[in-house]
Amino acid sequence: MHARESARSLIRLRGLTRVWGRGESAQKALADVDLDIAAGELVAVVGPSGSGKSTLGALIAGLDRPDAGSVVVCGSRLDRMPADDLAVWRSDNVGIVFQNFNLIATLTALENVLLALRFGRRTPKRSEAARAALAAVGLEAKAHRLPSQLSGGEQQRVGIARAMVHRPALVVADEPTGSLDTAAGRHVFELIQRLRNGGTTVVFITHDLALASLADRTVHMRDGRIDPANAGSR
Amino acid sequence: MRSALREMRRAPLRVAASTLAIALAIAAMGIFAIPSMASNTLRDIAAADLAAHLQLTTTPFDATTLRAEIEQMDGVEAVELGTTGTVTFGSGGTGGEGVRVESYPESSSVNRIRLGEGRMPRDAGEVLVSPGVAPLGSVLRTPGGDPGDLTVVGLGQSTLSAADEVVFARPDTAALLTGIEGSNTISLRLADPTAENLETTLASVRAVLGSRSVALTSLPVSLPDGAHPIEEGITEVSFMIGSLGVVAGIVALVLLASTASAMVTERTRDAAIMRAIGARRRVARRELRRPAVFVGLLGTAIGLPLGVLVANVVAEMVLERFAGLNPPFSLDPVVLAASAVFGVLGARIVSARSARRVARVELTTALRDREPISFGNRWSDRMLARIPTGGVLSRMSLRSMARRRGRSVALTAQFGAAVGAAVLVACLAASIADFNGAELASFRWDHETTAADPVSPFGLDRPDRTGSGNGAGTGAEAAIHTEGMIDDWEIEVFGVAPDTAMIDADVTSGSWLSPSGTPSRRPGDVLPAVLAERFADQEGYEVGDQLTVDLAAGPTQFEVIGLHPIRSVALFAPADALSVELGTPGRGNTLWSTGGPPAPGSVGAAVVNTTRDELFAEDAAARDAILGIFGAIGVIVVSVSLIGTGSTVAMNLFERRRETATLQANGARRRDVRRLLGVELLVVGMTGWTLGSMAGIAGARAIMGFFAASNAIDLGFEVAWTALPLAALAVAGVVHLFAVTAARGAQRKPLESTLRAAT
Ligand SMILES: Nc1ncnc2c1ncn2[C@@H]1O[C@H](COP(=O)(O)OP(=O)(O)OP(=O)(O)O)[C@@H](O)[C@H]1O
Ligand SMILES: [Mg+2]
Repeated sequence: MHARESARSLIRLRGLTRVWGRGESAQKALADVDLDIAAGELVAVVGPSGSGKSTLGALIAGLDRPDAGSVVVCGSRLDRMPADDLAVWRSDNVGIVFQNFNLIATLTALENVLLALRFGRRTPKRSEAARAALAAVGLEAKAHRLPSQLSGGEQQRVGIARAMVHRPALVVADEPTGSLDTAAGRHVFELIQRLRNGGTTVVFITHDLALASLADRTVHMRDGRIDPANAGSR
Repeated sequence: MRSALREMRRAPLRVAASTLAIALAIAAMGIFAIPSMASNTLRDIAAADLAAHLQLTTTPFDATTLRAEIEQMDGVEAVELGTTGTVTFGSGGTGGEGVRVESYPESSSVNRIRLGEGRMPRDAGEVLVSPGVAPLGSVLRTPGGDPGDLTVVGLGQSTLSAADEVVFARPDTAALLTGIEGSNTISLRLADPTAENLETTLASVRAVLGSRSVALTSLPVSLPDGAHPIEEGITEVSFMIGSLGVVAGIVALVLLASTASAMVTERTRDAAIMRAIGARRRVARRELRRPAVFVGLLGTAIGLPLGVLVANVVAEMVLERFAGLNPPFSLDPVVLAASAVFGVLGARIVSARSARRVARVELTTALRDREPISFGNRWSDRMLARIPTGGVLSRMSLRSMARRRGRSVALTAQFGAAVGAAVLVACLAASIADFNGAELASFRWDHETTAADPVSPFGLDRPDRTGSGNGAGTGAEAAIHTEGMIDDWEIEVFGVAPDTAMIDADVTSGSWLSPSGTPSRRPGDVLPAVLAERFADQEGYEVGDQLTVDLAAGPTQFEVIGLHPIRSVALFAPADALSVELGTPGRGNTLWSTGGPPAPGSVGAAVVNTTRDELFAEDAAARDAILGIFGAIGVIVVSVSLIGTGSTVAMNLFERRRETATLQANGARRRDVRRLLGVELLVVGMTGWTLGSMAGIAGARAIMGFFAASNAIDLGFEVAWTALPLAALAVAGVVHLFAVTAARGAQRKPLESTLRAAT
């Protein structure tokens, strides 16, 4: 069964180790992690603060490279990829949603979404795609607002629009609801579920166990390892 | 202090750059100390040497009774009568040309000699020479055999002879060498050497001399208040250098301002938190200012000793070059204090502005905002966000510049200052080089043979004008070349034949000298004169005006009949009439020739030969010295600006690290980042280039104008056009370098940490 599952894995991590700092202060944020995630799955990653969730998410999204182990995502081996190739890979394959939104302050909502189309494959009708993505998160009316003129929930919806506009196979969302109140958090999670229903694989890092329970599968992390007792519980 | 250290740990490079820039700027300002340092040094030297306050060169007179008469005059402290003349030595380092000999009594109460090497002469066969005349221990062979060979036993110089080449001999030796019976110089010191007292004394001395039919043979040298003869020139040069130092200072302040603003702004939240837990605004402001003030203090502390060093090195360069002096190490407390105040107060003022702004931000906003500099709160931001020009990246660039307008202005100013300083120095070089060529343009001769002593060995009359009787080469012409004073200006007075072939006779208005039908002139007649146009313009003389020139022999009336394009302060008058006025009717002191100089010995007097090329080379050397100094200061300004630009760019990148990381998370490659930053910097850099070029040209024009006005000469002005594209290329190169470095740096930082940071 394991072999069959890994055959159709979109994400395949083996022996993943990430060490922060050097010498005495060295600390293993991830220690020998193996994980497979199938295409189309919505996986929630939960665990106590400092257990390595964000570190894992960054490695899957190609934002960071491991100290040991291999990362294969969407058929590409990421752990040895040069920085520029990783950038191209990201623009083609992944959408990233951050807890702190990371919108460009000088660009409007629409322009922030457009940004995700700027570096990737040539898309013929970029601004139409961007408008459609904003419409999908219910923000077409505020397309020309700057981030400073949007509420936190609205900013995060722009973040989601930006993460999905180029139709990536994978979306990594690191506590996308962490800065939002319950209602706004629900709304954002609904958008993520909708992504998954459209066939996108989603890695959803959260502290909210209630939301996590709505995922296809929950991965529990503790001290840089996947908690074996709870690995892949449904 | 602790917060300042924390800041240093947080952004060590930026703090170091600001500190260095302030230090360099303070150091550059040290140059302001040169005038006072030089003047103090020079005055100390003049006082120690008992330099004459008034020095006259005359026709020979009998010393015995005159001394007593002058000594009795009011306020006269000491008088020395001496002999000076020019001698052509047969051998030694003098190259067969005339060298000035001055008598030097064993115990002098005026004009002592400062001994550099060796010792003072003890007997008649020994002399002391100024550096460069002949090496210590060498032997000077005298032409007539009397007083025999002279051994150089010492090297030294007197204040009044400044950087000239002189042989100092005992009075009996000097008399034998020059063949002058009696004395022909009067040097005196006054108890209270004010300009007014000097003038009164001069008038009395003139009267006494007049009553004995002794005439002055050159303009009296008058040094009020213990001044040194070369002081004025040095003050002018140092002032010009100092003004470039101010430019460096301003650039450094701009840098400090932008650094301070970044340091302060980044701590918006810190300040808000402090206030939230009870700190008053005043306390918060002081806390915010602290790192910048610390940088100012540190920069000043490093800059002051550096400035003292720079000032002393440049002062030595200048004094060595223009006076052959080695000044002692010295400081100017006023300049020290002023630059310290500049550094510290400047830092305090520039940081106060941003501290006030930051402390005024509403607490709720400050505590909520993730980014220290918001965008979109201002109406203009929202307007800008509505302009859909270009791609997403160019919109980002434009708005980023508007978002941190202070930073953009600082960057523009820094690029501008670098370009401005470079263009300024280039324009000065071009103008001075151009002047160097143009200065001699009105002359057609190749050689100028000048009688070294106040004698006029050349006949002005027609047969001699061809030079045949004067022993010169193919074309030769006798003339008078002397100096005079007019409204406090020194003016070169040329006595020339109206149909001269040696001077360009084209005038810009009025007419050139016409051959006079009546050679029977009497002293006191009004002489026609063709005056240098630039000088006439500046002093308000027009064709038809009368003017009085103080010649050595006394005041002489001229009437301006034409204006001449010659670029120096000069006047042309008919030689025959001028010779009458000077008391040497029909004789000239200068021989201009085109084929070659007169054969040695053919002119029965000591002469000094000068070729055009030598004059040109002399000018070139002086020009190179000035340009060298300008260049050095220019390099300081350019370095300060470059450090400034580098540090501002780094600061900008640091503040925008999350923005850059976001772009990269969305797939931007290194070259995308490079292009984004490159375009932004290029816009700023080229704006700076435009403004800097204009300012540099205007500055150079002003400096040349200042020089021209203070010398009443036509210096002209040349724009160094080739410097402009070169500067543009340099700006583009620097921008490219910055962008490449920045993009590489951005890629090296772990994206993940940057993206998750709270601010
Ligand atoms: N850039 C970094 N430098 C040094 N240490 C880091 C860095 N990023 C993470 N760490 C450390 O690695 C460990 C795992 O961090 P990580 O952010 O992955 O935890 P997390 O599970 O996401 O926690 P949280 O729920 O609080 O977000 C932590 O102990 C953290 O201190
Ligand atoms: Mg985390």
